[in-house]
Parts: sequence; C-alpha cells; structure tokens
Amino acid sequence: MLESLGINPVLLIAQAISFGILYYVLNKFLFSQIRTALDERTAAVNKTLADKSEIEHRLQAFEQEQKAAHKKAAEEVQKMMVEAKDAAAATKAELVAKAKDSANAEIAVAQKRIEQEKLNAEVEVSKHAKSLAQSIVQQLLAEKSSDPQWQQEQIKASLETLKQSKS
Amino acid sequence: MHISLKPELLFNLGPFPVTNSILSSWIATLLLIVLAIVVGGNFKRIPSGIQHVFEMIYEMFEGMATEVMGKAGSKFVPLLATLFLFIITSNWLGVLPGVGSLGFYETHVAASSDSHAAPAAKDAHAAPAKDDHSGEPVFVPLFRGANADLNTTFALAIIVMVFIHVMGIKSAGLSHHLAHFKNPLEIVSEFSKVLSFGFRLFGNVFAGEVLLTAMASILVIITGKSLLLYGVIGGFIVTPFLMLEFFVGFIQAFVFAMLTLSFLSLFYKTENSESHH
Repeated sequence: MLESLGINPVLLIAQAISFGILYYVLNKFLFSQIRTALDERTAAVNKTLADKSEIEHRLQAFEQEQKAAHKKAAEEVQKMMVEAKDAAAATKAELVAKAKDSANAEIAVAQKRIEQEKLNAEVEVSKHAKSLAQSIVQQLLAEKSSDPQWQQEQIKASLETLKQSKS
Repeated sequence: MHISLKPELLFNLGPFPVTNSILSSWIATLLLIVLAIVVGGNFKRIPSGIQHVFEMIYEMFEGMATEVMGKAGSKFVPLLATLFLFIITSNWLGVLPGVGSLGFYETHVAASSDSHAAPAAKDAHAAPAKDDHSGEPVFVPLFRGANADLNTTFALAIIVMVFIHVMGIKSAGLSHHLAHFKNPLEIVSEFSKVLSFGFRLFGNVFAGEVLLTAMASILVIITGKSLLLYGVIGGFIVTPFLMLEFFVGFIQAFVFAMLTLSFLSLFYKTENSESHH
C-alpha cells in the first residue's frame, strides 16, 4: 500500500532531515534575531511609557512646587508690605513727635526770651521815666522855685505820676 | 488524462532516488535558507521589506501561541513559523508556471512504475496521453509541488507529532504524560493525527494540481484535439483557479501550524495550568 502511495522511507527521512536543517538555519539566522528585536522593541516601548509617566509625575510635582512657591512669595510680599507700612507709620509718628518736641522747645526758648525782653524793657522804661521825671522835676524846680506853693503842688503831682508809673 | 499520485523519479544519486517533488522541496528550502541568511545578515532595528514580512509572520504566531499556551508558547514559535514558511513557500512555488509542465519525455519507464505521467496539460504542446504502451515516450515533469508528495507531508506530520510528545514528556514527566493514554483509543487518536496531518496537506495540494491541470486542458479533454489555441484559452480559464490555489496554499500552511499549536497545547503542561485532561 505504501508503495502504491509513493511513500519511500528514504525519501521520508530525507525530507525530515531537510526540514530539520531548514528549522536550524531559520532559527539561528532569522528567528533568534527577530526574537531579540521584538524583545528590545517591547523593552523600549515599556521604557518610553515608564519615562512618560515619570516625566508627567515630575512635571506635576514641579507645577505644584511652583504654585506653592508662588503662593509663599505672594504671602511674603504681602507681609513685607504690611511691615513696611507699619515701619513707615512708626517713623512718621516718631518724626512728628520729634518735630513737635523741637518746636515746643523753641517756643519755650522764645517765650523765655520774650519775657526777658519784657523785663528788660520794663527796667529800661522805668529808668527812662525816672530820668525823665528827674529832669522835669529839675526844670520845674528851676522854674517854680520861686513859688513855693506851686512847688509843693508840683512835687505832689510828680510823685503821684511816679507812683503810678512804678505800679 | 493520468496524474500520478506518486512523485516521478528523475534520476538516482547513488542509492538515493531524486524525485521531482524532493527537488522542489529542496528549492523551497534553499530559497528560505538564502532569504534567512540575507535578511539575518543585515538585520535592521527598523525593519523594512522582507524582514518586515518575516517579523509579521513571527509575531502572528507568537500572538497565537501565547494566547493558547501563555508565556511558554513563545518558545514554540520558531517551529510554527518554520512549518508555515516551508509549507506556504512550497505550495506557492508549486503554483508557478513550469511546475508540472516543464519536463522531458522518457521512453524508458522509470522505477516508479505507474508514473505514466500525463502530458502536463498546462502545456498545450503536450502530446495526448498514451496509455500503457511501454516503450512509448512518457512525460516526466521536472518539478512537482513538494507537498503533492506524501513523503513530504508525512515527514512533517511525524516530526510534529514526535516533537509534541517529546515536549509533553519534558514538561509533565513520563508517567504523567503516559497517563493521557490509559484509554487505548487515545493511542489510536495520536496515530490518526499523523494521518490527518499528512493526508490533509497532501490532499489539498494534490487536488489543487489536478484541478489546475484539468482546467487548463479542459478544451483538449472535451474536444480530444490538442490545438495551440486551446492552450491560450486554457490559460485564461485557469487564472481564477490559480488564485484559488494561492489562497489554499496559504490556508493549508496556516492550518498545519495552528493544528500543531493546538495539539501541542493538549500535552504541554505549563506551570500555572493542569492542562486539559
């Protein structure tokens, strides 16, 4: 039966051997390289995907960090501005106080001086009045020395003015 | 019209009979070996051309093998891909013009006794068959589809079945593997797998050759006259059948590899699955 179907053990074995050789050659020269290439490609794709998620992760973290830094900076600026305002207000108050103090001091000095002047003026006026009175008295005395009654009246009157001016 | 079931003997190489089908299978093998060395020799990271085709085939079988058998499946991909490539190459080479029609006449009937090779009917010049006149010139085609020879298909079938059982023993241990065959019918079934592997491929390819021959020479057969015109017309008639044969050639290669994978998965024990009892 085998003979009528053309089956010949020699040919069968020859075919098996040639298939074995084909398998060996394909595997060694081609399939092993395809295997490595596919593995490499899979690894590369996986790495790319991993890198991508890593980068996204980092970017997110960075963005968050940046936001936080922004917020912190804004807060700091706000704080600094408040501080500066306070400081400015304090300085202003101090300056005003100082100015007031110095003005008061000057006013006091001026008042003192005015008082002094007044005093001086009074003394001067009284001196002047005295000398004036003396001279008038002398003149009147010289003129009216002949008339004793008038002399007396005159003396009385000048004494009166003296008294008045003294007060 | 007479088409021999057997391959025709071309010549004897010492004790070795060189038939037209083994010549074709050597050509297919040589072609694949050359392609493998050329592509493998300047393998590129970014594939192009034929490297792409090989990678596509490899990945296709890898996808199916890992789907059926899990990660362990990927180590069988080289066998599946080799089977597929060898069968599809032989089948497609067998459809090429010249296979079955190029040849010579032999007055001395060759060793394979009933190879009264029909005139290759694709060739309109072929003389009408002359039956059973020893001494009359007999046409011997130089090439014959490698899988239109039971020696080739059974060689593949036996290799595959031996491989499957070796892998079964390797993965599960001998006693565990033999436990599959408590029922003697299971043993019969294993032999029937060899037969079905061998005859399915042979039958499809051989039938394809018969079909092509018949269709190309249909006018000659009907009219009984061998005219040049009939050959030209036959060429047009046969074209759709040629396309069909390319399709059949692919399907049979694919089926052979897929059956190998599914029979393999019956006996190969993967780590995580007590597979199929």
